[in-house]
Amino acid sequence: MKTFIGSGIGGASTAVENATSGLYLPSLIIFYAPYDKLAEAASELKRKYPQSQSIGVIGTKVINGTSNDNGIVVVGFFDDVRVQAGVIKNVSKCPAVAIPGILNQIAFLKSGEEDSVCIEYCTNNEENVVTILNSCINGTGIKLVGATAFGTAEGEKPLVAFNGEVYEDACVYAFVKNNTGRVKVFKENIYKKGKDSKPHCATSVDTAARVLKTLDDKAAADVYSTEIGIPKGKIVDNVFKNPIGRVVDDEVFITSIKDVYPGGAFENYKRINRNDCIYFLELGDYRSIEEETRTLINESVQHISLILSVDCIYRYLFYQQEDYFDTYIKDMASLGKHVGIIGGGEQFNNQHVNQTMVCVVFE
Amino acid sequence: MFKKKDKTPQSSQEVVVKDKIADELFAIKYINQYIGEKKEELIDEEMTTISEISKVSDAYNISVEKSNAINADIEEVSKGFVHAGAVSENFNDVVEKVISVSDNAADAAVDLKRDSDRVAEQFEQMQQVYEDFNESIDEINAVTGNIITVANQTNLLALNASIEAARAGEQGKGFAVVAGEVTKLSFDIKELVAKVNVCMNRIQRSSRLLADSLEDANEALNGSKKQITKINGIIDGIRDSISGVSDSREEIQNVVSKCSEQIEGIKAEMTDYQSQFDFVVKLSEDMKRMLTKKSFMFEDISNMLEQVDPLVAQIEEKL
Repeated sequence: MKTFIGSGIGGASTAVENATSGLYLPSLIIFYAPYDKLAEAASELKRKYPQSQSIGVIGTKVINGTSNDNGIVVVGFFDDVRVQAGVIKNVSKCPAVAIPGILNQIAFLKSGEEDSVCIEYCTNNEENVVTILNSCINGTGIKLVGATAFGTAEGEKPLVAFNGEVYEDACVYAFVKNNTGRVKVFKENIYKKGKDSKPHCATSVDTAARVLKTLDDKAAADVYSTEIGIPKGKIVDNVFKNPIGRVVDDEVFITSIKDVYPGGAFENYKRINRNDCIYFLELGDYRSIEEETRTLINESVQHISLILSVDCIYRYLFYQQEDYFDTYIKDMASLGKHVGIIGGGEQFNNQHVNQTMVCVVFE
Repeated sequence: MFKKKDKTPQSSQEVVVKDKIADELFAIKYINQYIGEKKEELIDEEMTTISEISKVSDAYNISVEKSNAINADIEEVSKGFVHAGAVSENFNDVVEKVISVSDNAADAAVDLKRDSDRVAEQFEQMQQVYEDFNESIDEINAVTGNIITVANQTNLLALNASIEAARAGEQGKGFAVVAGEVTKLSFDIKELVAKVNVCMNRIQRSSRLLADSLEDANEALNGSKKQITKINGIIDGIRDSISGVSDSREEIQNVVSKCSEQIEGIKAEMTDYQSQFDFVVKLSEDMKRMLTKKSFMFEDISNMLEQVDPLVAQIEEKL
């Protein structure tokens, strides 16, 4: 599969010019820009490539082993893929209105098993986005990988871009069908359920506010503090070591604790439902886990054309703290062309999760 | 017979309105259909949950049975140990008896040794006496030998005297010489006899001493015999006690062996019970995770349902 990646720094126009140097007639552009340049970059790309569909999001970018906050990164797809892009508006209210259009696009795509993916970037209400998109792609073989926009300017609302315009309270997406090879998606957790981890039942929640009030009818913070053995005042600081997670079969879905209320309730970055089975997770040997992931990717995809990844902001901060992030992105780049974004949440197939890495690999 | 259906064509306004709210109407129908499908999935999931609950219930019942079996075995082991405790009491008695008997045996052994030492001393004396006695005998023999010699000489002299006497007739001078010799011989014989008497007295003395020694030795021997008899009695007592110990020991071994078998059985049952318990715990954990799986479905349903009101509001707005 033919792909293009480019990056540029400076003002939006200059950065776009540099980032698109050598890019001709793409069928789809995916781009990443800092908050203050997103709108102009979107517009500039539309002007330069009027025939191309484009989606974009804000955030720290990773490109082939380097990272930057202020530059613009552009990824190009060409006519060896079939593409359908769009925007779902009002994701906080009724994104279901977009369903007819999405279903038409999926019908046009004619996806097969393991050759198609839906890449999405949203500003908020990730659970709604996942439900809507997943209901449409269910049974089609299309996988879902996405990120929540992170890097909004103070006091502003997060933005995404589609075909030259920026949107709040929206999700931009692109269905990509690879006509030359397979498309595989991967999810990686560096946190595991410990062998002594006990299951706890979420007995009281506020799903709208993403608050977990009680576990096993006791204040969540009390239960966490007792099992992990740290004072309640240190729980938020401990999120890099022991986040909470839901486990279904052998799969772990992580939730990051955002804040602890005086009554012992957790405000989280991901909704938890009543009766969810919650575990307090343990940090694994992340270097080994990363190596296993790279090995798995290498074994699963023979000739890697492109990797698009999403790393959670908490993973990014933790790896920075461990002085490991640069090593990590260089290792990812060793697999092939690699572009990534640091997100405020990750979407993978039918779930929105935190502190996770998700990626799509094109053969 | 057949009425024509009254097909009033839709007004253009109706069509416009329908077009305006087409997406919203489609979305509501879609949500309705989606929830219906999810409901079916949830029902399937409920059936799976019910099946899992049955498994948990069955597994739990098996665990209870095994627990009861283990309790029964523990009860048996407990009884065994009570019995072993009673036998141990007997064992203690027997051991104390053996210790007491052993102490007596030790004392008796000391006495026996002392008596034996006395016997040994006596026999030493006897030995000495006997040696003296032998010396005396030798002396007697030597003296007796001399007497014989003297006697022989006396006989010869007497013979010679006879011959001379016969010759001399009147001239018996020679006979006087002979007589003189015989007299000398008699002195010799007297001396010898005295010596023999002395020796004999000595012999008699020694014999008396020997007899005394023998008597003492006999006494000591009798004493030793009594001690030996006593010790034999004690040893018999020890044997009996040891026999009692052996019996008790055997009994205890039997009890312990039986208890060991039961404990092995309990261990095997506990391992089995632990596996069963782990299975129950796993089923219980699996069920909790199934609840999470169901909550994912509820989450999707909830996400869809939340949009109905805004959709209706949007329709109303457009209308």
